[in-house]
Amino acid sequence: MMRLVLQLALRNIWRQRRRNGLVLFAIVVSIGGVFVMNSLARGMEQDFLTFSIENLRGHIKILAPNQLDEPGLRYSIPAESDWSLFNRPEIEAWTPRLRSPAVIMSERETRGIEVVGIDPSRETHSFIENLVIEGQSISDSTDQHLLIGRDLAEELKTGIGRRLVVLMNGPDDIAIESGFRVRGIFDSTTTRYEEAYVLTGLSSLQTLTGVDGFTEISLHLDDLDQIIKVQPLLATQLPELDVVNWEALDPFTSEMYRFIDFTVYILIVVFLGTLVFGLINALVTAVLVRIKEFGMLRVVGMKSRLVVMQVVIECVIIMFLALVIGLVVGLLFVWWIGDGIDLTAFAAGVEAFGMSARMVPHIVVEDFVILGVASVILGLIASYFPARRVIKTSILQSLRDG
Amino acid sequence: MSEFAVQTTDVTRIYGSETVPVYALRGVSLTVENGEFVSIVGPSGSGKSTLLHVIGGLERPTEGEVEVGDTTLGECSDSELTDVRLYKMGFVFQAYNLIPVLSAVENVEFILQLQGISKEERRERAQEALSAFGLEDLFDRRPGEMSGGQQQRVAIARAVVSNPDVLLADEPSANLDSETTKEFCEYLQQANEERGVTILTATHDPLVMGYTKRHIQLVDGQIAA
Ligand SMILES: Nc1ncnc2c1ncn2[C@@H]1O[C@H](COP(=O)(O)OP(=O)(O)OP(=O)(O)O)[C@@H](O)[C@H]1O
Ligand SMILES: [Mg+2]
Repeated sequence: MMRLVLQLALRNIWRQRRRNGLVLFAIVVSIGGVFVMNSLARGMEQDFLTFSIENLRGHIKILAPNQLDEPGLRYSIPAESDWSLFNRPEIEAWTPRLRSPAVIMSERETRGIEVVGIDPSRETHSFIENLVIEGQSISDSTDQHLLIGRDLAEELKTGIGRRLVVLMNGPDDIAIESGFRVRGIFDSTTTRYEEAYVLTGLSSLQTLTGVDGFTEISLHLDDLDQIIKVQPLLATQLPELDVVNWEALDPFTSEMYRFIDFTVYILIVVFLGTLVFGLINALVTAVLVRIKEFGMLRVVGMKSRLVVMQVVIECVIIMFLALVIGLVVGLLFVWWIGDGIDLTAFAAGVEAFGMSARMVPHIVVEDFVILGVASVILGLIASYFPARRVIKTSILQSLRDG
Repeated sequence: MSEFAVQTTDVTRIYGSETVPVYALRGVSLTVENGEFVSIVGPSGSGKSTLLHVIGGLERPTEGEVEVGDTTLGECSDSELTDVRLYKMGFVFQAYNLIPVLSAVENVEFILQLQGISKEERRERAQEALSAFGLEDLFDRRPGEMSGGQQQRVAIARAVVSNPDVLLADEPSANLDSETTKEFCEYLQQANEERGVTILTATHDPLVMGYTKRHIQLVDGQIAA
């Protein structure tokens, strides 16, 4: 019996292929469109996140006391502490740093910056990992040279091999002034890094400032969702330090992230909602032109249940077909966009905003599944209306109409 | 088997509102014996179609009772009526009898398929029925690829393939020319005589009446003497 209904459904779909083709096309475009927009939104979201995390934040940061209110060298995390608590599967990498606001001077100009002492071998997840460097990078923790950004170098009118003077507040509020030689100049994706950070070796900065420790430790987890689990754990184990996550450190990006997350679902709901109205309309018209035929089927002994099933199956087949094609088209389109749509022409300055100038699509499997399941459910809901129309029309009425 | 094929008792069918009632049938009582070939005749609007619909369980009488074989239709649910039509009745209308997406043989098989009969048996019976009505060369034609007369013959084949007790036909020849009508009536007669199917047909056509042994004359929803 199922076979019979399926056969009738398939043949009828084929018979009304022009009409059904149009319906199919409309659904394919909607689903493909939602999919592409969704992956672009997800890409943007990813962009915001990466930008925020790699900006020396990490997922979780452990800060010396008072750093949040008054960054500087007054308080620090003792270097010789026991860090075995970071030996957890969720923690992919961790890196200690010594950071202080400072003034940097060339013979010509003066700028306010932040000196950051790093252990370059451990900076595997920050922007430092991906710098394009002219000259040489910081070789190791004991390196006494400076690595500065291109923009800063231009503002200070300095270059490789030249000397710069750095002035900062020491741990006991006595000013420290020291000369450094520039060893390398970096270009990064954003001018923000280039103007803000001046990098040198961690232990050489410790020696210079007399701080035997770090101002922060930045942690990179293997998954964003692990923050909820790891952060409170570390907080209880390090009661005298501040354990904060990237969202607390960067509320703006965090808000953007949540907003896009929300928008993505709104997008799906709005699009599929509109789609379902159009779909119901098209399907109802499609059965109305066949109402006489349905009447005849019922006259000769086809049960209402089977007639309904036929209508529902027709709708679901079209919906499913459209879903598959729509997702494939969407995927192909995303693949075609590949490494992004270049927005530099339209959006000068978006970089400072925490966005890159390329819109790179990013596919989230979960959204893929939600879209698929929602479409099939909507197809079922939509098919209810034409099916009801067929059943609610009496047999004789059906025979007269059409 | 009961002694009659169809019996109606005081069947009345009223359309319209209570204030402006339209009497399609007023107290029609008739008995059709097993194996009869009966025509229902009368002017337009006299209630011929309504009578067939009531007998076929397609609508319920406002008053009165209809029995088909030993089934009292008034006691059946809608779903049971569907089964009565499927197993005990065959239908031939003026047009739109066939499923457009199915071939001739599939259209005939359709009834057997609804009855849950196995694939081999259905195919064999459908082909046999079509052949009996001179359609052995048209098994795989779809309705759109056949003439009106051929389509009506497929409709009879479908109506009789499951050996129903009654075949109800509402102006089956209205779209046929006289030559085709004659041919069609001969096939109806053949179904009646060889298969023993009781046939009730509403018609205006004297040609059709000529083939039937009894005429039931309706005037204003009543049987005329
Ligand atoms: N659904 C309906 N609503 C209202 N009145 C109806 C309906 N169906 C039939 N009638 C009325 O009932 C009466 C009998 O109609 P019926 O169709 O049975 O006549 P008929 O003898 O078959 O006519 P014809 O020869 O034109 O087919 C007519 O007056 C018709 O207008
Ligand atoms: Mg009529």
